Amino acid sequence: MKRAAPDADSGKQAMALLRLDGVSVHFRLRGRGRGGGVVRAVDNVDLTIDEGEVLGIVGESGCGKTTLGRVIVGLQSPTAGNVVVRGEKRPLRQRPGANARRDGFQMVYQDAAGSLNPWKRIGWSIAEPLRNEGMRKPAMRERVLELLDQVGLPDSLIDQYPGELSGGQQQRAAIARALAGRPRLIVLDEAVSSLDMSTQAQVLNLLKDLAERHPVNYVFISHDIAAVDFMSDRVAVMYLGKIVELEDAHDRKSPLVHPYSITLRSAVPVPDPVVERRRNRIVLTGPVASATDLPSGCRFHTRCPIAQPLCADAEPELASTSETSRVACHFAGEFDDRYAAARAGTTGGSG
Amino acid sequence: MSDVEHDRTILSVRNLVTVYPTRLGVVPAVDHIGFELRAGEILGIVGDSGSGKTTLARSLLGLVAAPGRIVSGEILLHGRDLLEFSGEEMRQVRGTEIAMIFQNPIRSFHPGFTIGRQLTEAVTRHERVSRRDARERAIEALTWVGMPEPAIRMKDHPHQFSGGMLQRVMIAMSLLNEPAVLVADEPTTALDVTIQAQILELIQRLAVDRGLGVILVTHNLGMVASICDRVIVMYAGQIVEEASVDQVFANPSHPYTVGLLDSQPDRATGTRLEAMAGGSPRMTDLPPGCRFEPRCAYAETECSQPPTLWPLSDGQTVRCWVSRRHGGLPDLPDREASRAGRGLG
Repeated sequence: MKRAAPDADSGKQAMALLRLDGVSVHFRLRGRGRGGGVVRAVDNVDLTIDEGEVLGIVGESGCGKTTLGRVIVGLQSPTAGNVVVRGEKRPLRQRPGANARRDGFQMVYQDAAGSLNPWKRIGWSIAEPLRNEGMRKPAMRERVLELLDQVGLPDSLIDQYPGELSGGQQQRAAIARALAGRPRLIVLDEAVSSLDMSTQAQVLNLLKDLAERHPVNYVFISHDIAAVDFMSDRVAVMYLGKIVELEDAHDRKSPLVHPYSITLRSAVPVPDPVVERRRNRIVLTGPVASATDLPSGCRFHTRCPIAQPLCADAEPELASTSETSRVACHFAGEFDDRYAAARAGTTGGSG
Repeated sequence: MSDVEHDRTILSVRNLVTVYPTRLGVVPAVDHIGFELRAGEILGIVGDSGSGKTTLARSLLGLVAAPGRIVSGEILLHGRDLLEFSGEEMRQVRGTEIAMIFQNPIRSFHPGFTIGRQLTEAVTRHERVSRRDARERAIEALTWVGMPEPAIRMKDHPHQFSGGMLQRVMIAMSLLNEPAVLVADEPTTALDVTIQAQILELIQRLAVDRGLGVILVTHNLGMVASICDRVIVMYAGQIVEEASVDQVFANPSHPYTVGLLDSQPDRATGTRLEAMAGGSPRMTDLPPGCRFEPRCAYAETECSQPPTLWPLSDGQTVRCWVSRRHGGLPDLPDREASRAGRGLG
């Protein structure tokens, strides 16, 4: 799947489809008693997406993964930092969607029905981006039929209404609509999460097929880590507005290093009873921190099972661990030993 | 360990049929379902949306939404048939002997009253006890589910709890009157995975320590592998396979079960998932024979006749002609070819 990456750093810069430089999105809270409060939804994120790469973003609700997705696609302007698309700095624009249209980026949401007008036929909704381009009617119908075929829907659906389609068909139609303008990048935000397992598998396969036939990048956002791993070349793990780990999804030999990524993965039950029986879950203690009142230092330190005094004082940098992997932890790579020591120390063998 | 009597059958469901009338005819959402649940056992019910798993769960508590109704069968709880109970008797049974928790805990509480008041009332509604005793029971139940500072949290309103904590309150409420059976319908779907892990651990602990029989309705096979003892797989209103959790994952014997397992990204071996073709049939237009036949890669001529549930071995039963004839599903080396040949690829 992944295209060969150039060795030189300069070459990589030229390859990058999109680069985020110190991007933040801070929302100011309004209303009585909340004056001056700021939600740091995305906080000083640096990230590069290479041409042809599928980037996965995982994290729990409220970690900022959807806001980051909206910044990438151009529906949300950063409150600080720059977005560089194919080497060119993206202008700050007031009109929502203007940047997404300029860059040819698209977004697909969890609620597919929401991107299809319930009062209009499927063909009309899929053709909407084409109408905006000023395409003429006969050519448009031709293109819509082609799109329906690409996403595996029968031609007859062109004249049906969204309510007549199953959930899987609606999601396919939403993908067809996103593909209509031949986008360079599609941000899929929980795009398969509401589908049944068998339908989800069909749509994941479809996305992979499309990426092989067309030059399109995906940013695959989900809380479903198994689906993200399956789809992605690299996975960004987010916690409270920060990327705490960027891992190479093809290089499973090098283990995860950030305590949050390790905890998150240990919490996900896998469909194998033999594995489940042998598993030792890492249970998080400590209060869930809030994006309006971030902890000092490393923002995970209030819940981290191996936190040290240093972690409350200094915020760790997102540092390279290999050519493709990055991690933001003062004690990266020491989790197993420190966790074992911490458990022996606090539980006194009672667990 | 505990002195709870495990392995005793507490709930047995026989030939249950629940139907919904529609414009296109009467739909059997739950079609002759039967199973048994033992004390301390966690039984998983899996299937796609529309397979009838939620209708089945609601049928057990007499909570089928009108115009749906139970038309036949038996639901024997400790030997008494719940279907012969009056509305008032059923209200007594709900909460005291069989309880249910739902996907979205915030919707299950009144936003205007404190948790303490709602929990206390759940006790006094069913029993003549003093408010003080009821309050103590409520605090105790909150302790069981791992609520920190339960006496203080009693004064809080639902919106003051996080989703995970509110689901704990919901479970505490369902346990107040020490029911024998807990029906949990997608109890963690709205929660983050780290919180989900805590709730699953809690449910498992309640089953082991208190002998609670649990029916876990879910589409998440990871959760099933994690805490269930036995699994029922539903398709288009029917049970297509029932087996122990190990049998289902190691030796699935219905083609639909195989398809579900192959759809899991964690189990993918290549760059593509072995996805099942097509979708579930419309309940108003069911295939005359096996309901999975139109999507099935194993299908043979006999599959145009409706199969019955057939015991394979060791408590594993399957509704499949092919499995029945071969004593399990045969290898299908040319699965791709067969699928393409049937025009489903």
